Amino acid sequence: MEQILLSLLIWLPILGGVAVILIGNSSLALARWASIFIAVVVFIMSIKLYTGFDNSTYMMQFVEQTQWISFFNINYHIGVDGISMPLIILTTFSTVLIIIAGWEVIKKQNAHYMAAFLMMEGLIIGVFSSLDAILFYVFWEASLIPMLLIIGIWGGDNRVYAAIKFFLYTFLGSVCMLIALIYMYNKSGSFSILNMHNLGITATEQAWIFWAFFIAFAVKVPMFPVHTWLPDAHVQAPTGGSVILAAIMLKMGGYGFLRFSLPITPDASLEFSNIIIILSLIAIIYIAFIALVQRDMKKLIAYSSISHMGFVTLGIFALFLAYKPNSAEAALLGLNGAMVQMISHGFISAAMFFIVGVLYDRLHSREIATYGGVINSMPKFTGFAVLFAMANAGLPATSGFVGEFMVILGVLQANIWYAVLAAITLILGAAYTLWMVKRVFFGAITNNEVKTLQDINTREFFILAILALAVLIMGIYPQPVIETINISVENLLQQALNSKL
Amino acid sequence: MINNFQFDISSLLFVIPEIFLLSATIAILILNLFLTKNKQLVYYLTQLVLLVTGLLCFNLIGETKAIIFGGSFILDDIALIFKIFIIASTMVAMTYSRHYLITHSLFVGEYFVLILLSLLGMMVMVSGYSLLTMYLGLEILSLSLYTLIAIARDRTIAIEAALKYFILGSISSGLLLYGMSMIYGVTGSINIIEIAEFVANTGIKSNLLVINFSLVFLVIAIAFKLGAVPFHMWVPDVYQGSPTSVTMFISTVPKMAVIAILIRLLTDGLEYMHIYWSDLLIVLALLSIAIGAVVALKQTNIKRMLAYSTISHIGFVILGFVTGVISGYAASVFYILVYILTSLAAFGIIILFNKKGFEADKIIDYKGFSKHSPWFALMMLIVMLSMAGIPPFIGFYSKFFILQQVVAEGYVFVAIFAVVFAVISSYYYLQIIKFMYFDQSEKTAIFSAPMDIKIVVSINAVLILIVGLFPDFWIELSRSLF
Repeated sequence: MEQILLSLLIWLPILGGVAVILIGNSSLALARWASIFIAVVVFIMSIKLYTGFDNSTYMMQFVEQTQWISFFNINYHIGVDGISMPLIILTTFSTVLIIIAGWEVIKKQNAHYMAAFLMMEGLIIGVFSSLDAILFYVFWEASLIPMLLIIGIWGGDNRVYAAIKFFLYTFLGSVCMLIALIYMYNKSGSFSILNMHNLGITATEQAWIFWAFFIAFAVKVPMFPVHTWLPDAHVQAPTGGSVILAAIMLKMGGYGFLRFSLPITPDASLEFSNIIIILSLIAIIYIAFIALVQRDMKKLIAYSSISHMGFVTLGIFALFLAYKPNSAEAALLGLNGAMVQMISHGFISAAMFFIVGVLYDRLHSREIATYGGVINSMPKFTGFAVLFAMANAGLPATSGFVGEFMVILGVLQANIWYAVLAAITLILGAAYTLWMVKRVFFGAITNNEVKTLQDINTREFFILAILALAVLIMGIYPQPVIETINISVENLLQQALNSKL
Repeated sequence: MINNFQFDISSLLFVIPEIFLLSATIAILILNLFLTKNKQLVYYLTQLVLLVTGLLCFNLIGETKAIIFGGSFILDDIALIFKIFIIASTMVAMTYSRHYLITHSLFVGEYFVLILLSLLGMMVMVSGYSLLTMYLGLEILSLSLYTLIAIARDRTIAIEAALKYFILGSISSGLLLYGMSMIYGVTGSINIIEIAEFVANTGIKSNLLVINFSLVFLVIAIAFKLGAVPFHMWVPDVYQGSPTSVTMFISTVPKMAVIAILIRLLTDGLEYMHIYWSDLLIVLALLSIAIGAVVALKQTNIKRMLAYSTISHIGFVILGFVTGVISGYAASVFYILVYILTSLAAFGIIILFNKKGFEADKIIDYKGFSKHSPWFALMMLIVMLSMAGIPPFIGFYSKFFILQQVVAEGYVFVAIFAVVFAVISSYYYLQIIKFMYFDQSEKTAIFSAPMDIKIVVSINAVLILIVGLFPDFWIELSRSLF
């Protein structure tokens, strides 16, 4: 099974999704159990990726390769390294929670909802494990389709606008990447990503390719100024959609920078790193201010997502400034921090969206003003909410602290002012998150409906408890994650620093 | 040099499909006179004739390339594969048409006879290797099509469409003849081989102006027939005005025959003029892609929308020829095959939705489609995403192939232009998905369509996905033609 483990992880959920739709036509209950079964099996199988993973090499592991489209020398070539493996486990982990979360809440076409998430899981795992550029592109684009339907069918009032905006933004971004990939294929005769890493390209070509990649990945992350689709998409998407969007789809952008931009266009990345860093800092600070004034909880968390993802791009591109010839440590710290931040953000943003989802399911409002004094009727729930809010604000001993701290430490070596600016956000992050918590959970009850709220049931408790555990473990003992990614990140650093000119 | 006066009886072997088709068509026409009650028989006979003609063509696969009748008829891989595809697509189109014709009381025997005649015209076009045979085939096709549109003679909009098509079609035929006569004037021959030899050997310097002049006319005429911008004005009106079954036919199969003429004329006959005609084509291609994408955004009629979408697709097809390399031509052929497959499915689903007195041609008609017929909504979703060029559907690979060739020949900005407009055009495909999936509707539709259409439409649409997952065979096939 080791040889086809990745293929199983990709295709089992996709085919399972088809099966769930078929079962759903006759029995909804059976379809639900089938989808949770598939999701759990896939998650357990993905654990094998971790246990069977060799930490001591940056080489691709669990590799499978067969010819797919011989005319273009396109291969079905998949494999994982330390960068993609944790993201795959994050995907399988989140999907299980989403399936549980959608259990009773989604009234409309429940089986289709589950199936869409299962298919998306498979497609996203495909994105993270593809080693062939066209295979990557196919998964990358195909993953838009279930997301489009999820927002459009199960979303809020303004869902059509949000769904189409989401789709067009990402589509426009990725076609530019496609042209860049084709250009490199015409140069080298191969779509293999690993070959592209070693492909010699001139400075001008690198600049063009870099910006083509940048458009694709920046939209996905999303970076300032192409972030405007995200608040719309998040606000309108159902809880599960927001979770997968924040926890995983945004990571596809960060992953793209690591897998494509840095190794393929190292010189251009160096040349333009300042622009990217400044855009990241704008995202971190300016977007945090925007988050502060939001009245809609989901919008607030969406903006906070953008702000936190700013740390990822900051950590990635600060490596060029942080790197000193005699010590790569600072650069490495920043890169590792970016990876940790991606994973940690996956947990925290998922948890935050679940929190809003729990409230929304009860009162059908996302407005902060609707609530107040929720702690009186939902004490257990409030406990979780405060924990995740603290994590979102970057409290030490939660995962939110680790990534951001590493990035800031790395950036500190590069430029102290950048670090100061980034660190300001820790305050801003605390401000908007805690202020929201204060207004929603504490204070006097202003709305009579809040009095009648039921505290979380077992299903919701289970989801939040698992996420709380993940956030705490990552916060207290991040070592296993860092060990997993470290060698691959070191290799990536080498690739990024080796000039191709 | 080919001896023009030699006639070998064995060369008839290569035109057996055409001879059979012509005889069978006439037989059906006569039979139709005597059939008063059971008109359904004509339909089944037509399908049978199509099948036999297809098999006869299939039988010729593997024969070596033959140029017969004094160099005016060619039978090579392109001709055979094109013919087989044209026949197969016609069969599928006929299957869909039957339901439409019955529900809208247009079921007459002449309809099928005209389809068979236009098919004959297309087969002659595909095999035409002299200017005259090409023109002959084109006229057989066009005249049948004008009549086909007017077959709904009590609909003013159809008559308008037929007239419009007839007048503009005649003009373009005139342009084609004019261009051909100038080519003849310069080269002294109407045979593609001899024209090619003349251009290659004699050099084009002394006659450059005349050849260029005629080239413009030829390209315009072809652009007219393909519906490329700025010669696209007839396309939306004809698409909207024609009965949907005729629209489906016009928008798919004849495009392939015209592409065959384009291949023969430009890439075989005037190969050495590539730098000149590629400049003409690039303008056509870019304008078509842009106008097709932008104007479609505001359409409320799905047939009109598909008309603009066709224009945009044709732009991509022409882009493949701009490259001037054989793999670029292969990309174009692959694109047109994919386009026909997808377009047939789109119209098939529209026709499936037809009822007595209900044309299902407004985009609004598809509101809440996914609620009352989830399966066919899914099929339409596949079709629309494939047209938008989203993987893993086949429409992605056809665009990819074209773009790859275009970038390989150094037209990077052309490729960027094309993909940006591809993104814009994806908006109106998304609109259909939006109406089907995101909107609610109280109305429930009851399908009156027979089972055979449902099955064929499903196979057709699922093929878009399956070929998309394993496109290798089709890409290799298109590549092997050149």
